[in-house]
Amino acid sequence: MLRFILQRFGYLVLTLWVIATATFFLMNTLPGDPVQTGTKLLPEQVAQNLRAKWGLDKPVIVRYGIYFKNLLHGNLGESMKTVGVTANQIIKERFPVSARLGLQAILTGLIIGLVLGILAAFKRNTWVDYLVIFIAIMGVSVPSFVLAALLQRFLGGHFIFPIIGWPSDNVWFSGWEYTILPTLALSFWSIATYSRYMRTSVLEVINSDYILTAKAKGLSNFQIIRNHILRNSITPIISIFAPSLAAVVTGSFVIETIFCLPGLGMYFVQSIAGRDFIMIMATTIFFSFLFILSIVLMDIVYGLIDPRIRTTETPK
Amino acid sequence: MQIQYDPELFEVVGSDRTVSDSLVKPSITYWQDAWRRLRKNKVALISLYVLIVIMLLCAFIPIFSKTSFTEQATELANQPPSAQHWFGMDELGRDIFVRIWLAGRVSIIIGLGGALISLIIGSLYGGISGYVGGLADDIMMRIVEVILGIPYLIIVVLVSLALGKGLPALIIALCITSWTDLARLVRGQVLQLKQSEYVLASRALGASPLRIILRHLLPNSMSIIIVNITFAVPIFIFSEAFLSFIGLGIQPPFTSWGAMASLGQQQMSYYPHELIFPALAISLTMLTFNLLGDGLRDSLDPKLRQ
Amino acid sequence: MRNRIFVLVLVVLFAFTVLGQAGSAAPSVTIRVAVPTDPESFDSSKRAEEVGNTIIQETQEGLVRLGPGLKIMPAGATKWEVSKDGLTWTFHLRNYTYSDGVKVKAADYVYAAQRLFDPATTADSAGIFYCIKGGEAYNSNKGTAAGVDVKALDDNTVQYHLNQPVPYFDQLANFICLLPLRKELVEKAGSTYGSDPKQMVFCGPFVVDQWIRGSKIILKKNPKFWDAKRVKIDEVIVNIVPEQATMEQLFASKQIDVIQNVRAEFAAQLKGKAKSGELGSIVAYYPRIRYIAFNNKDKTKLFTNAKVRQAFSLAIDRESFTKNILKMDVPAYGFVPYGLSNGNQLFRTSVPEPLKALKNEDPKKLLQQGLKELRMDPTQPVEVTFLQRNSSATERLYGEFYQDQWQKRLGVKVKLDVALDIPTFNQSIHKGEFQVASTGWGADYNDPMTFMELGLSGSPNNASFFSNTEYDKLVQQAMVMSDMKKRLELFKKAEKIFVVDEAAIAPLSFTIRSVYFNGKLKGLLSQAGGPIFELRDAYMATK
Repeated sequence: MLRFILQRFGYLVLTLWVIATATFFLMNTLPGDPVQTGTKLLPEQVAQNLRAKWGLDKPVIVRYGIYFKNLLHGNLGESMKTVGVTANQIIKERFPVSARLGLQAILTGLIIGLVLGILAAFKRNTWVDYLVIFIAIMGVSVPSFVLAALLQRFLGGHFIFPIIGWPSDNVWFSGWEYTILPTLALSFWSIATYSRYMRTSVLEVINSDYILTAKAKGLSNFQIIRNHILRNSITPIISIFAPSLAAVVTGSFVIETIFCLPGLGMYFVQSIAGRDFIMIMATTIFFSFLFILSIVLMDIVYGLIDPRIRTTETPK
Repeated sequence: MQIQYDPELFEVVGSDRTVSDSLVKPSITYWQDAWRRLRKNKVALISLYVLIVIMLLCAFIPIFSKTSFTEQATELANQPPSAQHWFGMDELGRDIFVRIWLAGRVSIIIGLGGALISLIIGSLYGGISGYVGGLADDIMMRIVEVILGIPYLIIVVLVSLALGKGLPALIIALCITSWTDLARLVRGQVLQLKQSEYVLASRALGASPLRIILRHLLPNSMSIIIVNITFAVPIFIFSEAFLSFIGLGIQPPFTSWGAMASLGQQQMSYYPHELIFPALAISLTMLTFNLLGDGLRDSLDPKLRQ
Repeated sequence: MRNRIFVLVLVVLFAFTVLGQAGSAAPSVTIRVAVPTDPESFDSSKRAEEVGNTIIQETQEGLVRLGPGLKIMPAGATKWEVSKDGLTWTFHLRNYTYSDGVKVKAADYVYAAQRLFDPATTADSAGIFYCIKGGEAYNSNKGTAAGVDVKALDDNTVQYHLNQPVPYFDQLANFICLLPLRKELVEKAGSTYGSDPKQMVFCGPFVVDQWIRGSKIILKKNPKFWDAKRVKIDEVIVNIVPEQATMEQLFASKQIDVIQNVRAEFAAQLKGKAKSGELGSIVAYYPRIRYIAFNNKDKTKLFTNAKVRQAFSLAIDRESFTKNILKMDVPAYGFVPYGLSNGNQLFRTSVPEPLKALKNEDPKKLLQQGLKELRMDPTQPVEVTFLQRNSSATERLYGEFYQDQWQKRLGVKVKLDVALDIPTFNQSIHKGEFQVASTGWGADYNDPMTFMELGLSGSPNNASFFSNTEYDKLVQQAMVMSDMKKRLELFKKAEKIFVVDEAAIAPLSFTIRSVYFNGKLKGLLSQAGGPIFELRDAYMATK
């Protein structure tokens, strides 16, 4: 097991390096001059000074060398657009916001999704099942922009829900009222997907011999679900959970824009539009790291949950 | 005592397997059986018919309608639904009813086409990766991680730079990442299934890995594949809108549901009809896809085969 | 379009600038406003975008300020004089201090000017101040900081020496780039200066108390401000709200006191309340234009012909565009917007919009004539490509409108090409890789020159690659012309060449900016060139 984990972390570093390198070179072939990103073109002299400051006057390969030297020292550089603020600082400021929202949303989505999925499977082809299908379809075919805007419009400013904002003092454990609407809006997609996958994979196992045996032994539905069904039907959920976890904790552009949250998602989109090379790289590396890490963990969890899976084994 | 039989009473019929089998039941293939079972599923059948009707309307309404889908009556811009314009007018004063059907052409083709391409690439890739395992699996999964790690927007822009802004660029940009989810799902399933008795038996009989993947592992993962594919459809519809906004794919004045919905979003607080109708079209199509998918699942799943 | 207006000096009306007494001993007054983006920095040298500009102008007091009615008024300087040759401007500072109690010295202004041109500062707006002697040389690594000819005669007198007479230098003096800077604080903070308000000092009506990036900025009244007794607002909360719809909801539920860039539909909802006095409003011209640039050096030759360009310009129904599609702004038939003044006189009131004269021409006929002049077969279908400036839904909508107009009125086929975003668009324009494109321009200062110099051959923002010796001559003459009447004539002739005779571009619409606010809020100022909302004279009426 230790060998397996070490090997996977080795891969992690390797994959990160490939992603960072590819992104670095691809980013530099994007059309548009990183110093001419405003609606007015700067005079050539001013543009040149900016290029000199960011080292953009050097060949790409030289810049690549410099960038990676800094990276090895943990220095992601200074944002080209937010003057005087380092990429490390920006990630430190913004990631907790996106991460809290993302975690809340994905857990909400997971719990509601699993419950709905199991319900739908047990009550197959009844109104319960069709209601769940309906919710799922709304969840994937109504864009999150619309859902967020509707929540904001009809619930924001009423009851305890503020229209915009995010707790700024204690990022993780205060101001729950601020987080409810964005969490709901963001979790709808997860509810939809998890409930559908769960329904399907529960149906797969519900007629298996071991479930019949369990029923025959007189186990309650709850015990059967807990002991047999969850364990045997959760693989697909884990497969989609890992990458979406990374995606969701690094922020959602749409939700952050509508609810005015100082998260990473919005910032990343602005970085690309502003050709903020430093921030594009920093965010990509950070996202990829989380993403790959969650896949590594997923592979470990696979093995723990389902004894049938031996990831490292090769059939001969 | 021995009874003597006259050999002439007997006739050599030989051994003809087809005949002997036909006595039991007509032999039907997996697909024939699936179709037979699908036909019994009323909900799925209705969905199929609705889908066909939507497609026919998309094909013919823009041709035969008296109102042109390009005509801009700007003074009527944003007009709500009326007897004359059933779905109202859009931001430029074009009839939304006609444009919905026009838009459906692109969206349905992209939705189905994209799903099909993802299905083929994703399930084969995931199947091979999971079944072969070892170093090949490691490399194949790392490739997936790299593809998902590089910012999508950067990939898309470069695809358009390399291939221009036509249909091939659109399809590649759409599918470049879309198959990865399915690949990872299928891999997970295959890892679980590859120790099953029927796979062992098949392998013992000398079946090639590809045959095992295609004949055993994929059909047994079919239900998950179908959920993934039906859910991929709206993603394709919305991605197409995004890509058409950055200039890939279809050119205005042609449009798609995703593009109409995106434009409608801008106006949703004042002119909700501009969002509601495209959103309804997408949802209705999604509903039929899902119910049909459910039916297909039931009929394609070998475990439920009778 | 709304980003990055350099400090615009200039017009727009002002309403409710009633300066009055606020209620006595009132409790702490907080004003809540909203802006669409974070500022890029509070560093007054480096960047020039609308939000940063607003915060800096609320918190720092420079030489002059843009007062009510767009008058340049004394601020940090009590008076100033220009030498006879127009090359030397001398400003006399009042005795005033920063928020830490240290006196603002002439040397701080000198340091600010030197830092502006320091190539290592990479100041976006340095180019606008190349008129200061030694500035361009230092900025291009050919000179030294000492070579920048800005001198402190004593602690209270600062003198700017110019290369050529600039009659509107007092307008430029309102730019944030010339604000005083404390050398020791700037150098201590290094490259992080401007990102953390705790490291900064402020000499204006307010100080930045807190900046939670991506969320809000909190301003507090500056008790050390020289005119602090007139400042009636104790706290300003600036929310960062990217979506206009969210802003509308916040305003409707009274969670912000001011909303700007109001759309027609929302304005319609507010009109009743504005009439009853429950809300106040400022609706006025903003010196900005939306126009179509034709590539005058078009590789396909088509747009090298003036008649063809005229045809494409006239084929667009501007009335319908502004009324039904934009749902704000007014049609433009000239290049210089309303509100800019030539000397003391508003330019547009004396010069009618020139393209109106051609309104009744048949664009299709012009196109035919143009094609003949180009020796192209007028019976062959013409296909052109329109470059959309970014991939937003609204720009796409406008693109589809132009496409339809040209196809319908000229019988040509129009392909839409989309630039992914502004940097991509800038590159296509810069390299001349387009036929027709939509773009815009906003004033840098309150003079028609800020528009007219755009059309000069080789000017960096001359998107249409227009090059006309007659035009160049007229504008060059206007640059040094001190007789304002003759200057007006020169501009008038040049503008006619630019939009009518040569039709280098097709003007589409002039911007109207509308601001609505809580009816109790009095003395609010919102004018181009100043902050989005200026609160130093504002107060909350008690009744």
